[in-house]
Amino acid sequence: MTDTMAPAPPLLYLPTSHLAEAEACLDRARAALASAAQVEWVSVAQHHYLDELAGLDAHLGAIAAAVDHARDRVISARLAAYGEGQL
Amino acid sequence: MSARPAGPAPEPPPEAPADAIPLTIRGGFAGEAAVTEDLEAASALLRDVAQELRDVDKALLIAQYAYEDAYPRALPAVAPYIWDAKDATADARSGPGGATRLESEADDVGDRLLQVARGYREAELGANRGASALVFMGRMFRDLVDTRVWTGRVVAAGAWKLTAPGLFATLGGRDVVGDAIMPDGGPPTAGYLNGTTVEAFTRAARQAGVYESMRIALASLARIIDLRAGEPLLVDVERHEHGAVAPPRSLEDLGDLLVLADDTNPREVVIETVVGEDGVQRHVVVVPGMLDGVGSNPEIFDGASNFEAVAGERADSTDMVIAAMRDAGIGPDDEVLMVGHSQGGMVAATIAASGMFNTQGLVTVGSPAGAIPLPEHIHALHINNKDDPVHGFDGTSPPLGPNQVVVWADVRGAADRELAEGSRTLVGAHEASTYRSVLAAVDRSTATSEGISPAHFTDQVGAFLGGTSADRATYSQVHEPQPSPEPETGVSPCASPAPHS
Repeated sequence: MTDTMAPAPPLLYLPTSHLAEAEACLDRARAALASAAQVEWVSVAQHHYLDELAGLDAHLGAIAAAVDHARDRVISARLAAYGEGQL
Repeated sequence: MSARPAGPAPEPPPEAPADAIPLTIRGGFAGEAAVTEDLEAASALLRDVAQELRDVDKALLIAQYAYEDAYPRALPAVAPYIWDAKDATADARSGPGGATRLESEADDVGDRLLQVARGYREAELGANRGASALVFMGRMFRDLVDTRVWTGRVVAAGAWKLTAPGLFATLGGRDVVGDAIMPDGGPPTAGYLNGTTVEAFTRAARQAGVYESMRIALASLARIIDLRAGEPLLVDVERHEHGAVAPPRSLEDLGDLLVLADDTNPREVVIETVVGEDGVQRHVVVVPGMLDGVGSNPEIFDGASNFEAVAGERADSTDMVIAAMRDAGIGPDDEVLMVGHSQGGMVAATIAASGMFNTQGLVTVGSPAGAIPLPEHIHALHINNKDDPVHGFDGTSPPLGPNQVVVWADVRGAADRELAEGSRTLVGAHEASTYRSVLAAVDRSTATSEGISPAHFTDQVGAFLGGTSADRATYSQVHEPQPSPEPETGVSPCASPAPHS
């Protein structure tokens, strides 16, 4: 009787580079909005515009937090996969 | 005995309704040009943001696919973690506050901004609160008829004076009948000879390419007549101190100064040095309109100066104002508000455009100053009475911009019937006192949504309109003692020579 070895678990592809890319894009988007402060507003519509842009900036902050959370979850998954020999 | 209520006394009711003179306000802070400029800046910004969000969406989608692909092959101890990662990534991408939704929101904001701009455009186009075309036609026919009646009365008065009783009465110095026949004022021509009709003619001349040659020919002709008639050259200005005065606080106060300047003969320039609440001295320079046509009168606010100033050239009257400003000690860095009526508005705009002084603001009334390009940073307010033909002589309209406000007043539609009837004649429509009433109406408009642009203008030049003290000086013309027919013998120490000299 021969002793058979258990097959090695498959390696998993769990990249973080795409999330890092998303974070970089969000940083650029927020920088573009921040440049609104550099624009010399000349019209009566100034307050309307700035309110809209402030709303967008708040939402961008929420997405950045969500991407950060996703990245945290992926790192946990990678640690678990590494512990089981799947990375 | 009742106690007096605490706190400030209630504001007295306004003396006249806010719409005492219907106004059409274009340009400026609430104008289409300003809003469009902001829209372009905001749109470019939002395009960048939306593009970045599309890249975020793409990156998250690729990551989500990778985790979904890994999940079926994960061991039971690993799979829940991968599921969590996939869920978190999907939430960041397409959750309630995710990138996909925000991407469309960025586009929505762009659309909303466009709607805001469209709203301002429609508001500006719909701002014409003047009379309808039908009313203007009615005014035209009425004035045509009344001009005929006016002419008939003048002819009848002349005929009466040729009769024996008329001659007797005239020689006696008390011609009651003749005075009754003779009309009081000028002919009521505003219905058919107004800013619109004159501008139609001058615009056509510009389009035909003959306007400029006509202007140069008329300027030369006026200058030749002046020289032949022996009009003495201006050699200096003389300062007259008036001491401390109440500083101007409103556009109507500037109108008072215009009336003051236009009451002078020969013309004088008024300069008020205002000390602001910040302790800084600023200068309000008030330039009167034309007084003389052509001829030997020692007056440089004349026809020749008109034909030069309308193109932004330095006329004699421009040189006089510059000399007065220098005599008043106004340096190149001192802040200046230029105010002018008729020719004075053209002169004020020419000096503002020249950059010789630190002009912060410009107010022109009844002035064909639209062809004089102004630096964008200067806050300009151009006010024209629709019945007044003079502002149409430049064959163009002042450009509208964030800092350029144009107000057209329908004085004939004013609630004050005396003011409205006065605006039927050329003199009544154009005189400084009529424009003082218009400036007061513009003041009142600043308290309404209609007057956002003038309100912004008065805010921007507020340092000139709210000082703690002011001193007034006027400058009169000093001409050479002996009229000289030879132009080359005259030397003008007032600034640099005018183009014609």
